[in-house]
Amino acid sequence: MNKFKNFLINNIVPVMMLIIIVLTIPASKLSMKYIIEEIITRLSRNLFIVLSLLIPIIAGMGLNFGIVLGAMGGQIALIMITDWHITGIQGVILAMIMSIPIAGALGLLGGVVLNRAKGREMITSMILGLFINGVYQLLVLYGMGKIIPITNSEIILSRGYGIRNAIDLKKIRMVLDNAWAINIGGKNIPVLTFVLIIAICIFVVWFRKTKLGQDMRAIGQDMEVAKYSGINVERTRILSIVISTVLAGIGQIIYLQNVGTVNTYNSHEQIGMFSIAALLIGGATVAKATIPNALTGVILFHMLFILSPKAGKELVGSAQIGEYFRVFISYGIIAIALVLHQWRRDKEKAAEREKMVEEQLHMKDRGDK
Amino acid sequence: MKRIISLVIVLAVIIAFSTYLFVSGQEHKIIIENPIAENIELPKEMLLTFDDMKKPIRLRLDKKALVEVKGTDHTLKIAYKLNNEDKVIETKFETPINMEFTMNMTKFLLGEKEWITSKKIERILPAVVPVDPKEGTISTDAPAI
Repeated sequence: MNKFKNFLINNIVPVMMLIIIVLTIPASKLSMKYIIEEIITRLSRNLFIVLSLLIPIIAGMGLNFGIVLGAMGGQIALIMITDWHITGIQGVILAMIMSIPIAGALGLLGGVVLNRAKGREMITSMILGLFINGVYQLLVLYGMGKIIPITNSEIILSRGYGIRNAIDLKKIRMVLDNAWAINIGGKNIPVLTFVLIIAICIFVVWFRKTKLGQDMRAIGQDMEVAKYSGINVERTRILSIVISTVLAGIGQIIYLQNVGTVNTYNSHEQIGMFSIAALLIGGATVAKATIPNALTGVILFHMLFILSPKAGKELVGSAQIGEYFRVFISYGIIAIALVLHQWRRDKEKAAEREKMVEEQLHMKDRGDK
Repeated sequence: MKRIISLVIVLAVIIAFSTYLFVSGQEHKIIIENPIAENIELPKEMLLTFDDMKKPIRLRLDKKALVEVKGTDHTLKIAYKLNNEDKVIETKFETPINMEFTMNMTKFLLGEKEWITSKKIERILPAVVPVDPKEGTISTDAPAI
């Protein structure tokens, strides 16, 4: 009974989500085939960027809201390849290569800033994302066409500088997904995209075993102990953010090539919140996240995306109500996960304190005797 | 030193690979013209197949077409009927990077060298927004050089 209770406490978020989804499936009247097809598409689209969140968690830096910085890097690279008329798989790969230095530089900045805000990494990375978003908008809205030459009239505003609100990626749309796809039951499975996802999973598993990965784990457990054992804490923390940001840049390119449109000024804004919500829904915490958490999270989170508007329409005649419900649930889940994390931490601290007091009393008793 | 050398090699490989992707992935616009020429009989219509295009472009006499090709080396297959005789010609041409092209099919059939001309893709400059003091109108046309 205690085991079951512990399991429930540890997995309360995914269990709650699962219950909501199980209740919503019949209400939505969607076929299982459709739901599975949609989930496969959304897994290939979103899983990579969610996995990019894992490394800073290993290093004890919590959920990296700064992945929006990487997403901006990915988008700048996509704007550039669209301007240069680079199409097809070459365009996607070139965008990925180009996003690495941009996202890397932004990640470096993020890492340096987060080192100065130890213990408050999540809120700092969120605010940093908003700040860099301003710089990004300035660059894209005024710099492109004025400082950075733009030749493609399809993406530039009619005034001669600034990028249009939406960029059509028709020349690279789904090229990665279709480059190696197998048809199962009338549905194209994007094998190459899943190979990339598997590659990042293998990278995360391998990385944890490396010296750097072990250092990050040590820092995640206790920063002071890690420092005294000779680990360069500051550098390791910066590296974890740089790796996460670079992976997020590539993840954003995978996401946008699937969608086929870049909303120049919006696409990156929500990605941090969506990815973090998905990871938390999968049962991850601020201090611990695994690959199964990411996988479960993307499936559960996107199930809500698929089911709730349809369920809302079927139940109350309005898809918008279902959408409101989804937004309420997804952000509510983030709040619950954060509260639970704090509650667990307080509980652990209280248990530790109790144990220390008991030990002291025990020592005192022995001294009296 | 060993570390610097490996870093330089990795960077060189990445730059070389990126250049290859740029060159092989860039798409070029080609405007195809098929003007009437005096005193010469020309096919009323021709079918143009660029590279591995699945559906050929049907181009009538005195009409224009626009096609986009990817990469630098291309083959063009021209099929037409003239004097009740079916003819197929295959030719090769190159499209260097950052260029737009105009093809004149009449010149090609006449064997002229300048059947394909190119111009550099123009850089769009910020719009000059002159305000007419009398009219108070604003021109937002972006000039190009």
